[in-house]
Amino acid sequence: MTVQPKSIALVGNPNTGKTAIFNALTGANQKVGNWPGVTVEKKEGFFSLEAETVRVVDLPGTYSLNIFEGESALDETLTCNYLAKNCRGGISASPVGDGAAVGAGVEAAAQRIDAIVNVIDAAHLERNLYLTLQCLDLGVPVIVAVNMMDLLGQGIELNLDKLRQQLGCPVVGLVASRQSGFEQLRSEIAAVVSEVSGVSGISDSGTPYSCEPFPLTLPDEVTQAIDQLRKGADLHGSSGRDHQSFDLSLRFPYWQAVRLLEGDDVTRALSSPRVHELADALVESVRKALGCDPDIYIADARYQAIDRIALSVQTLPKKQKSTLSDRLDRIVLSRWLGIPVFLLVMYGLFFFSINVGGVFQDFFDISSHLIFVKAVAYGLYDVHAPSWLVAILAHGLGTGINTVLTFMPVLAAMFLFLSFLEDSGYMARAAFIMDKFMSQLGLPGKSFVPMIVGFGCNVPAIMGARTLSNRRDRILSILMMPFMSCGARLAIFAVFASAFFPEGGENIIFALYLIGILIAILTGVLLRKTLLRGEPAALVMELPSYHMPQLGALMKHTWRRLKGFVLRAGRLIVPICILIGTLNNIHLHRNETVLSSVGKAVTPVLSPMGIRQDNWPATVGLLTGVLAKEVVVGSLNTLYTQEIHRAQSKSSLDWQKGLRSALSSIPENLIGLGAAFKNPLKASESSHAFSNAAFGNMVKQFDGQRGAFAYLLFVLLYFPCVSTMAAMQRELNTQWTLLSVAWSISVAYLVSVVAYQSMTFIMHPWYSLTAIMAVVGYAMLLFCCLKYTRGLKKWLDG
Amino acid sequence: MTLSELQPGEAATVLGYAEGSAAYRHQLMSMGLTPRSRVVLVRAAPFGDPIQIRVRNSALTLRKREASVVMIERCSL
Repeated sequence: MTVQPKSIALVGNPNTGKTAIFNALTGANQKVGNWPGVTVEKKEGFFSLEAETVRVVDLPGTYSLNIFEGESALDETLTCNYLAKNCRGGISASPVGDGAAVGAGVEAAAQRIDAIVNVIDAAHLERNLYLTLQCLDLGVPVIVAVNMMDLLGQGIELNLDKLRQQLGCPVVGLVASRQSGFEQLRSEIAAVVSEVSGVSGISDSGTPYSCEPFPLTLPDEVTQAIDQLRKGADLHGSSGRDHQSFDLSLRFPYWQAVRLLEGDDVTRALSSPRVHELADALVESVRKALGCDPDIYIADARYQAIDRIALSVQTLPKKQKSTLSDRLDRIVLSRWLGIPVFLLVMYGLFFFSINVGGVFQDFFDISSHLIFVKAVAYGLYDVHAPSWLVAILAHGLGTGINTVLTFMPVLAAMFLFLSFLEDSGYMARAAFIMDKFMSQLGLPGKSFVPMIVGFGCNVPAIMGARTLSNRRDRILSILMMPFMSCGARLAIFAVFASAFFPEGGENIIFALYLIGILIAILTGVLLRKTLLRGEPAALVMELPSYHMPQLGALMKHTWRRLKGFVLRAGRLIVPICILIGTLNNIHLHRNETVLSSVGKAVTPVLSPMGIRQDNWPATVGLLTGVLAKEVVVGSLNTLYTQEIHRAQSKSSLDWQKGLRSALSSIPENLIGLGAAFKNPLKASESSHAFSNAAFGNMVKQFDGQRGAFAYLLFVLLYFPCVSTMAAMQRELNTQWTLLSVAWSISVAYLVSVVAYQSMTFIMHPWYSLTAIMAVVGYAMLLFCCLKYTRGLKKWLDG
Repeated sequence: MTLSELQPGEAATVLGYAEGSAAYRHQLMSMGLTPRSRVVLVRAAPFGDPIQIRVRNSALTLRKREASVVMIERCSL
């Protein structure tokens, strides 16, 4: 057997400063990844203690260790699963457990934890101690780390020595922001870890380690039920269990018995069906004898014990001052100012990410285009590489990298602002304010903020939906997001508005935004009636105290999210860019690329929405728009001016000029910020040069305003761009992404055909009627597919 | 009466829970809403729902409809 490093787990309520303590303990020795199968961050770190390396796992915050499948949040489920599987008293090789574990992300190899460091927030002592008592039950040495930060200034005093006596485990006081108390914490950890058996030892402070559960005063019936369950479970033998891991006690662990009686799907997954039967019968008998389920008595007993502890260790000030958070909330959450403040924050979010982040977008775009597309093409032509190779490497791969990099500034700004909102404590308040509004759409209040972000760019919006803990809520809001008209689509609208609607163009654009929102709502309703039935997760949300976020932590968080996007999403973006970029640059004849011949072939399909055969450039524009919607403007410009789309491959490469224009874009955009402050949407309208010739041709080719409007409807709704798809694939899975793609193309086609045909109804009533009937029939078929296809949901969930 | 009927500024003692989701009940109890605990309704959100309560010195938000499983008795502040 190889010697594994000793490991400890950090466990605590959300908002206790757990991550700050993790950072202080491990410094730069961190590994951040995802838990297998889910997008919840897994943070691991190492630090050395007297020549020994200790592994620290920072588990997601939770208020309790009980999990109810389908109702508990993903991150809490992870923590509970991890502890249940890796604690000494846990079952290492359970016959039932492994496959049937609750939730995803538990397949990680079992790695025993040698101690739990339970971080508690001194300002909310009672509530935090609930989890402490549950941890003490697990049969693993527990060190309680009390974060004293929030206590300062509240006038509450805490006697740590008494707390140590009462809990029977080492207690260390910490002030994470001042780095104080960590020496003591390290030496406590050292003392626990060096005691290999860990059964009984003496900690630094002279407290014996207790691996005994904390004694509760329960009604006799409940105590008997626990005993009976343990005996019964032992009789059933829990067959096939690895007895070697049970050297301490061959008995069914106390915590498992308690949690089976309380209701907990993690422990249920670890025991056999016969034990479940016994537990259910015992719950029933307690209910009969006492009138309530045992969980009420157990929780009550825990809080009675906590009240006793709190009374003896905590001195409250005579007159409780209202805290700064209370005073701030009186303004921020007030009936009259609550909504204006919220809107102001949303405006700030939008402005900061789209406009301030956007300042650097041109720099990334121009410079990466210069390096990865132009320079590569130039170099390849220099060595007389065949043109297909240039197409693949420069216009495919290069464009792919260029696409990913161009997104970075906006994403970074967005993540930075979102982290700020989260760390400061405002995010929970925003959810509180918007909950009522969003519940009309069957979504929790938390989903509002990412939706707003969607009007800037769908990619960070989809990634922002990660804060939703419930999977149904997450899928539902992600599938609605592509219909939030993003900044890139506005660029297309702006060009068409000036070409076809010289007067009242802004009304057309506004109408398009509204239609997008309407379709998003409709999508939500449809999904709630078919694949995603049920209610949003119940709201039990703490409003944490306000904090001034630390810049270092914000940067770290932003960087991790950004890296995640670039690495994961890049895997999908780059190949698609290679495909489309290559097709767009391989020439069949002088004037025709593979992509444009595909466009010509597809055009008849689009004729019901008013695209005539000779208007094939419009179709090609749509095809290139899959890369990123702003690309449509560029391709239409090229195609309508009848230029050959042979990018400037043979023109000379001017590094100096290119880099200079990239650099100068930053100050130019900074100057533009002033105007953007007044109207952030206006500023994201593209300044793409659309040549006069292209303008004239385009106006000739489309069927006037009607044709243009139908086309814009299609642009609004069709296909999320590659990057959006990649984000979706990363946050959900491939199947849901495919569904979203299929759905958005269908909706786009349906809406634009119905719109065009009803606008031109008088000219060809029979044709229009048939076309409308056909698409409506298709829509109904689609609905039935969603509603009645068995196994579709299963397939989607993979 | 139930927690959803409490008005802003009023205090109450928790009596127990009506039949309902075990998961929801467990969540509330682990946050400290056990029998005999004291709650104060701090405010309702600007749109009237959810509500913010104070229990054991922490601020908790709940939807009125869901909170109606918590049986309470009004008491003085």
